This record gives sequence, C-alpha cells and structure tokens, in this order.
Amino acid sequence: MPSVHISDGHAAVGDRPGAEAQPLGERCLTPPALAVTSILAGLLVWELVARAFFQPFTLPAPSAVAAKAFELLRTGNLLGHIAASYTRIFTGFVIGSAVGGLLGIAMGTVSHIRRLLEPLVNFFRFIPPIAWIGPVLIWFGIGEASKVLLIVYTTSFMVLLNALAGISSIPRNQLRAAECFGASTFQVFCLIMLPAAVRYLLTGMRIGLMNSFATIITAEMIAAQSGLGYLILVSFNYSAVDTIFVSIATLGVLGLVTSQLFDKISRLIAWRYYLDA
Amino acid sequence: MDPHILFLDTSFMYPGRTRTREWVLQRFNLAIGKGEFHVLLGPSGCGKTTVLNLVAGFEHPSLGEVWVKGRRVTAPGVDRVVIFQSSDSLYPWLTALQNAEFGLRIAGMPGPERTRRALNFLRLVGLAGQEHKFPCQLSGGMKQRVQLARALAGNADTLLMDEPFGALDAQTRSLLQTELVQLWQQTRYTMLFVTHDISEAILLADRVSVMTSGPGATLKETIDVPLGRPRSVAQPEFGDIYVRLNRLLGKEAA
Amino acid sequence: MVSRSSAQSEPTSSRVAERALYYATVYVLPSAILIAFWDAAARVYGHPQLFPPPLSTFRTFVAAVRDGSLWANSVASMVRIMAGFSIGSVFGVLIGLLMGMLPAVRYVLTPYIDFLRFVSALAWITAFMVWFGVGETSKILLLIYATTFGIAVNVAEGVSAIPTVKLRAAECFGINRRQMFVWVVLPACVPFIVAGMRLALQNSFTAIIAAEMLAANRGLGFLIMSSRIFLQTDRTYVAIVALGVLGFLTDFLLMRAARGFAGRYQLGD
Repeated sequence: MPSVHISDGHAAVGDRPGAEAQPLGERCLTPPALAVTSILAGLLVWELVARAFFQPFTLPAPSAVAAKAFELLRTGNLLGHIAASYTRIFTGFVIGSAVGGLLGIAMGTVSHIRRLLEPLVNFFRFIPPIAWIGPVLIWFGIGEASKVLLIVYTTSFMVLLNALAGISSIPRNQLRAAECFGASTFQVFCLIMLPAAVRYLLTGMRIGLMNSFATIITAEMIAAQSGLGYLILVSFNYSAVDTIFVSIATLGVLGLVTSQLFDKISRLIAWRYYLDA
Repeated sequence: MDPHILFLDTSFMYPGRTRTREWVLQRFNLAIGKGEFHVLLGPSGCGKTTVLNLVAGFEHPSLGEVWVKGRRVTAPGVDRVVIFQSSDSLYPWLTALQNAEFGLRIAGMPGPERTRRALNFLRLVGLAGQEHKFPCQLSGGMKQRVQLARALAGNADTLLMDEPFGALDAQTRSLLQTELVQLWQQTRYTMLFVTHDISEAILLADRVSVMTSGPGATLKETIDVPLGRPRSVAQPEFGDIYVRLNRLLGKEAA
Repeated sequence: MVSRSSAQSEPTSSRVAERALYYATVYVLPSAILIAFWDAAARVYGHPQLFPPPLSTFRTFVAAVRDGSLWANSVASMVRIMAGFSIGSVFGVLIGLLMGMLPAVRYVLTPYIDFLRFVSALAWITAFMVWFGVGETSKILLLIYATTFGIAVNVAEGVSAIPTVKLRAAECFGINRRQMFVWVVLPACVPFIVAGMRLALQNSFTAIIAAEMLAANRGLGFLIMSSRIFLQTDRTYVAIVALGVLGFLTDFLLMRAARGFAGRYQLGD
C-alpha cells in the first residue's frame, strides 16, 4: 500500500459530517497524555464524589464498578452475555449489510427501482428500528429470530441510504468519460458505480453496526434471557447499579473497539476506494 | 472537402427548462476541418462547454444538427474523446496507468497489450515513472496529462478539450500548451479546444472562433492565426491578433 | 426547489395536471404497491389478529383517532421529545462552541465524548430510572443525553472546520474576539448545528420509544408495548405509522425553520 493521504471528505448518511476521518481526539490534536490525564482526573472526581455523597446502590465508585466487573468476569456470566449480544449483532449485521447493499445499489443504478422505493424508504427511515419490536415479537416470538431481524432492519437501512448516496455522488465527468469510450451499462456498473460505492457501503455498515448496539440493548431488555441488555434489566430489578455500570461500560468499549476495528480493517483491505480524486 | 465537425443552425436549451425559453445557443454555425486545431473563445458562461458537449454527444441539439465526419451526432462515440477541465473525471481508485488503460479496458483489449499501449502514451505525455501513482498523489498538471494519455490511448481522432489548463499555474500551463502543440503536430488529431484565455487561443489555434456572450450565444467571428509554429507571445504578429481578439471579446465581456 | 420554480412561472392547468400525475406516480403508486403487498401477506399469514390486513388497521386507526388515544399518546411522546431536545440542543451548542473555541475545554471533554458516543442513550435508561424515578424527569434527562453529545461534537467540528482565511480576513479589519465570535464563528457553524440537531432529533425518537416501552403509561412507545401484550397488532401498526409521520414532520419543520432562519449559511440537504 503506497503512503497516500487518505481523507474522508464524503458525507455519510446518519452520521455526523466527517466522522470517519479520525476520532475527534486526533483531529483536534489532543495529546494522548492529556487525554489520559483527563480520564484519570474524571475517575478520581467520580470516586471521591461517589464515596462522599452517594450510597453504593445509587452511584457506585469506579473502584467498586471495576471490582464488580472482575467478579462478573470470573463467575463467567459477563462473557456469556457479551457473546450472546455479539452473536445477535453479528448475524443481523451480515444479513442486513447484504440486503441493504443490494437494495441501495439497485436503487442507485436503476431509476425505476429508485422511484418506486424512495417514498417508502423516506417514510420508514423516520421509524426508529426499536419501534418494530412490537410486531416482530408478535410474528416471530421471543426467540433469536426476532432480535436478529431487528438488527437486520437497523443495519440494512443505514447501508441502503449510504450506498444510494455513494452512487448518486459520482461526479458526472466520471460517467461521461466512460461514455466517451463507449462503455456499456454493465461496464459502467462494474467499473465505476460499484467501486465508487465501496467506501459508502463500508461507512454505512460501520454506522449500522454502531446503531445495532443501541437496538440490541433495548431488544434484550424487553425480550431475552441473555445478553448485555438482559443483564442491565435484571440488575435494575435487583437495584444492582454497579452491574448496570459494568454493562454500560462493556457496551461502550465493545462499540468503540468494534467500530474502530471495522474502520481500520475496511481501510486496510479497501484502501484504494478511500482515495480522493 | 467535407468539414470534420459541422454545426448547422444549432440551437440548444436544457430539456425541461423550455418554459423559461432561455436558449443557451441560438443558430450556431461552425465548420472545422480535418486535422485542424480549432479554438473556441468566449466569455465565461457563454455556452462554450455546451458546444463541446454537443459534439461529444452528451447533449443533443434542440434545433438544428451537429455532424462529425459526415454523420449526425446522436450519442457519444469512441472517435471523439473529451478532456475535462476538472480532473474529477479520473477514477481515484485507479493508478495513473489503470486510468490511462481505462478506454482500452472498455474496448476489451487483453491485459498485457493494453498495458504496453497505455505505458507508451503515459511516456508520450511525460509521465514515465509515475504510472503507479494514484490521482491524489499527482499534481494538477500531471492529472491533466493522465487524462490526455487516457484520451490518446483510445482510438479517437477528435480531441475535445474543455479548458483543460484552466486550473493550472502559469508555468505548467505554458509547458503543457507547448507539449500539446507538439503532440498535435505528430498525430494530427482534429482539435476543438475551449478557452477564455486569448493568449492561449493564439498560441494553439489554426483558427479561433469568438462567441457572443449568452444567453442565446452564437458565433461572432472566426479568424485565422497565420503564425508559424512554434509560437511565442514575443512575435510582433501575436500582439496584432491579440488586440483584434481582445476587441472582439471586449464587447462581449460584462 | 420545486416550489420555488413553480412560484416564478405562472401555474397553468396543464402544469397542475402534470404535477398531479407526477405525485400520483411517485407517491401513490409505491404506497399502493406496499398496501397490496401487505394485504396479500396478511391473507397468506391467515391470522388477522397477529398480522392484520390494511383495512382493519385503518379501522383501528379511525377508532384510535376518535377515542383520542392516538392523540393523547402522540402528545405525550412529543412533549417529552420537545422538552429534552430543546434543552439538549442548547447544551450541545454551548458545549460545542466552548470546545471549539477553548482548547482547554476541548482537551478535557474530547476523551469522554469519544467514548460516550458509543454508549447509546438506551443503555442509560435503567440507570436514569434508578436515579430519577420512572416519571417525566428521567425521560427528559435521557433525551437531553441523547441530544447533547451529537450536537456538541458537530459544533466543535464546525468551529475547527472554519477555513483559516476566513478568520484572517476578519483579523485584517481589526475584529475583536466578541465580534469574531458573533460575525464569523457562529455563522460558519450554522450548517453543523443544523446537521447535529437533525441527527439528534432522530436519536430522540429512538430513545423516547425505548424509554416508554420500558417504563411509561403514556406515549407511543407505551402504546406499542401495551398493544403487544394484548395481541392488538393493528394498534402497534397505528403507533408505528404515527411515529413515522411525526418523525417526518418534525424533521421537515426543523429543516424548514433552519432554512427560514439560516438559509444563507449553505445548509446541506
């Protein structure tokens, strides 16, 4: 891979502008030492405030949360819940990316399909995925299928919208240049539209992945016997705020790591589709 | 001799804007001979690019006709190739070589042969050694060279250039102008070159056509540039032609 | 865009007919296909209670409008969203501007925001219920959380994205800090503020639905959950459609307002 500057000027749908660039820290050049200091200071303040003013069952101190995390890890059920949530997210993510990618590319390339589906997409995009949990549970019961289906819906929408945006934003001159050489529709599709859509597809997948973490928690709170969302709800029923904190922190770390990892791997594999003109 | 490119009473307005009745071109007539270097000069926004797009087949005349080599233009064809002003027509995910190969790949030429051919043309436009760089690693002038190599590698005999040097700095522009003329002298493509730069027009053209300002632009006057090549701005005749073109254009500038 | 061009030229009867045909094909046809598909699917499924066909859903909709339950639940959700969203927007813009203008604030807050944007508001629901009860307070605070970070990150981004030449051009005229803020920085951030608010609005809908599903006795999320328990699938449909319409309308109004107040600041679409 040549050392080229890879920038991310493209606008993603459903994400803040330029979010793919780097984490905000790098962009604003927060020195790592300062970031660590800031986090340590925050933890210290939290520790002191929690000890001085709060009961452990309303606001546990970070040390108590860490202890709880180790305990949950050792007894094994934390890893089990992580695996449960992750399996659901991953399954739904793979299916949803395929569905959303195919639909988005079809809409981007065939104007009739786009005209037919766009009003529906525009309507359904304003319905939060989690709202479907009602009917989905009625249709498919409280088993794995319901939760996976919700993730499929969450992911496919983001992938679809981004794929569509990617194909619509191809510079007209790129298409005209191909016309000059007598490219067939199929050649334009394979040689221009697909390559141009790659980075948008991957961005859509990454945002879909992040949103899936939000969807799965609520789904597991409402209907599951395992997973981090289930753990949060059970802990709430037992007023175990420390376990809730462990779950939230685990979710944050998982989301952060998964999303960053996905981004890094995308750029490693598909680096040439991230290059600017 | 039949003209290579011929505009017959061509008028153009954008489809769907017929209600406002705003013509971009109105009764535009122009004949360009085979192997001629023709420059279309006009104030910005007058419809020069539209003229080019009509020849390329990207747009279609609302009234009148456009002919190339005795055939009416109805669609883009591989005999005519466009060099766009902005280099966003290069594919950012392809290297310079792969971009130059693009037309041959569309035409279905086998890999080794098209690489050899594309490499030749990259060398011809002065990009030897740069073939594995990506567009984002190339300067503006180099990107335009890649566009040129991509165009030349195909089987076109007509180059349509839309202010290709407009975004370059003066030195690079001057260099590319000289090289373009040399290239044209070797190959004898028919050139239709659009610009708003009077000096550029005189340095390059066999004949210069001046357009009126839009809307409803048309051809004002076509003048010969009877200078030998290579040309330079220091030639005394250059100044005379400059003054003449400037006067023609001056009335059109806002 | 469409409305603007039509305002300039005179509307003729043929033009009206043309547009009617356009909207008919562009909106009515897809909806008709969807409804036909839905009807067919419901027939194939064969359990009207579990998978109600369009017609009975429509009757339920009319009934829900008549008895006022749809209205009451929509208002309950919208009041929460508006309260949380507006407070969160103010916080978000303020924090974002501070982060953008003052490096110290940026350094301190960035690590937290970079982490917390991976923790969706939905994860905090139970914690907020422990701290603030199951009433309105916890829901509005949850929405403030859902709104603030997204907007703050966007606004900070906007401040750092201001081209240096714009700042230098202003400095040439001897601008002071306050003028620089009011005349240059704030206007340059407007598109970022609007983009952040738009995203935050969608997040608010997601958060409030989830919160109402878990703990509420009013609201569209409550309607969805309670209908599920009683297997009134048609009522969940009505609630979902209402959500879609409200989401679309609020987004439309937000963009309208943004264009009206700040159209000159080059908002995206």
